Amino acid sequence: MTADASAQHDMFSMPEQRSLWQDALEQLMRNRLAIFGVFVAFLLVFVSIFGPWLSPYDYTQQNLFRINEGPSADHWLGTDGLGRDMLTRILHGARTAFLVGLIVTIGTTVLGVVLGAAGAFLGGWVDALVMRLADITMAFPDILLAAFISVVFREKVLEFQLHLQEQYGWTISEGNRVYLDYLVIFGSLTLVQWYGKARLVRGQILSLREKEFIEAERALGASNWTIILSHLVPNSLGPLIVSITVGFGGAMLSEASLSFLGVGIQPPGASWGEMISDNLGQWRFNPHLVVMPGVVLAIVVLGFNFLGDGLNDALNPEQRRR
Amino acid sequence: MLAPTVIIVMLITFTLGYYGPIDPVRAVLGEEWEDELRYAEVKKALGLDRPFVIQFLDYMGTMFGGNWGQSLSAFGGVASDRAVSEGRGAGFTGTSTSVREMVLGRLAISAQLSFWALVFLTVFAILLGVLAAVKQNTTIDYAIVTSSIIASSIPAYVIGPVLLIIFVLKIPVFKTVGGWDGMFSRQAILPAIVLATGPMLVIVRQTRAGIVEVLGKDFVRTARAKGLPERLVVARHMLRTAMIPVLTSLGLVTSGLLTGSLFVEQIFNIPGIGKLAIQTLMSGDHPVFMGVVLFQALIIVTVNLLTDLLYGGLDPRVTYD
Repeated sequence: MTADASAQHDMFSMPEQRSLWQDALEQLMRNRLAIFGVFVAFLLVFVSIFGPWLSPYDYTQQNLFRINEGPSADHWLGTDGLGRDMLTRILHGARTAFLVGLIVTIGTTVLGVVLGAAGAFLGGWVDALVMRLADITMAFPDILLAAFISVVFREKVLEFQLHLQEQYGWTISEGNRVYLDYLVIFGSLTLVQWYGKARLVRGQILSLREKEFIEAERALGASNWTIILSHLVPNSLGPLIVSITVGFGGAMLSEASLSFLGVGIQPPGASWGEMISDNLGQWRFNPHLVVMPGVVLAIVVLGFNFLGDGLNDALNPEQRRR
Repeated sequence: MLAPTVIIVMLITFTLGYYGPIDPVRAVLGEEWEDELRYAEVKKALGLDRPFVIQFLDYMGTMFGGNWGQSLSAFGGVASDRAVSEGRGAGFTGTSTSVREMVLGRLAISAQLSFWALVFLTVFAILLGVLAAVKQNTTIDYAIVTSSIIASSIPAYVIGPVLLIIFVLKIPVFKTVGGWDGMFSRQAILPAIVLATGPMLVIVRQTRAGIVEVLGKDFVRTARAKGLPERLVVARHMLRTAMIPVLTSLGLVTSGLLTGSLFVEQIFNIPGIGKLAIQTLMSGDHPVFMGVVLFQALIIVTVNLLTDLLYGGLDPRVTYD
């Protein structure tokens, strides 16, 4: 490998050699919107880990003497209809959003890469099956399908939990019911959102396989694994990273959407979407209750979209737009 | 490809409904469900005492036969009361219990809303795209592209309430909001704008990319050389060429608007197809919910197919085997 690289170096005698990643990092640092995205992502991680310690209240703690208040010294972002501290709930919502984004992204990426690569490498009926599955998933209105799946499976998961409780005495306390909601959301969103990455990976592999440099490598007698590890993976990593970043934002948005519709995180669990729908009736009297979770959701989704855009410009130099 | 996909979509929705958490018999009977006799009676009336395969074949038959079955509210009881109180049914307050009439009636409202959104899109998004392309790489360009990213990234249930607060509370432009009072009422304006923000970025980007591509082309230079004012060069020569991809993507946008209007309908309380879907999902009126999902899937599949064909028709380089 090193011998190859130095030989290439001599042959073209390039004045300065920069790897794709160095170049991409430099490009990214120059993009102010992408930097904003990085900042938002770091803030989200920080808040979702340390959120509960940042606020003196509990996210389910009610104070019925102080409902629907505006921002004050005690409650920086005011209180909602049950006297719960808005800031605390927003911080907890960050944890929900981050967890859903993380797990759904891992799920869709693993599923997408495995299915897409299987389709591309094995071809034949495997490929046909994967692509038909993708077509069928695509044919559904995605939010409605996710909503349907989560409604159906929430009940099943609850039944299963009761079964565990009866059989083995495993109990999940009432306060931890939220974890069931998480589980259901992870599952339904993964099932609905995997196909984008599968199609991407399959397309990348199929098109790269026909490229001359792969042919040259093959002519030199390289093994399949060498080709996969040193050419296919690095070359398709760029688009995949972009898709993962955008998908992360998309998964968080879908969670908020499901919770907004009432089929995602159930009260008293905290989710930005649930907070918006919970307080929607108050828009005329206490607009801040609707605006605050909305603005936070918007900033986070925007941050990830900007970051995805910036990464796309940085990692896929052949399609740089500006 | 169309028929198999639709059948499998049908199978999936039917299976989900079959194993779903809400027992249709209970949804109909409410408190009365513990009465075993009544339970068995309604179960038979709904055809639920038959095996899964028979039920599915029967369901497929009713769907393909063009009569999409009956809402649970047709069987009286609690389901019917609930449907009446939610104002479900065909059109606005209709009391029909036929799934087809309910879906098509509600679709008409969503379609009218989507039509206005499409008008906003074609006027503003294409204009902004052209402007961004002509002022390529200037502050105006960046501002347009960035603001359309912002508009398209933020979900309708955030933009909607914010616009409500601005245009009803702060600057009282609109007095009555929510509900649906026909296509030409003032109530339709805000929801249509909110609905249009979703696909805005796609159209702006496509228009911009299309125009940028032809900026330096010979035919544009010729048009300029013969003394045509810049305005006409853009309108007659550049736009015409750049519009092909935009037009094809408008097809996809339309299906996106029709299937994605549920958040706007939820916020502005518009009795469209998305609202119907959410209502029936929550109340367990699965025949109607499945009808909506199936119908939307049909729209998506058809539009995808048409877009492919149209693309082939407009661009002679694309061929199909």
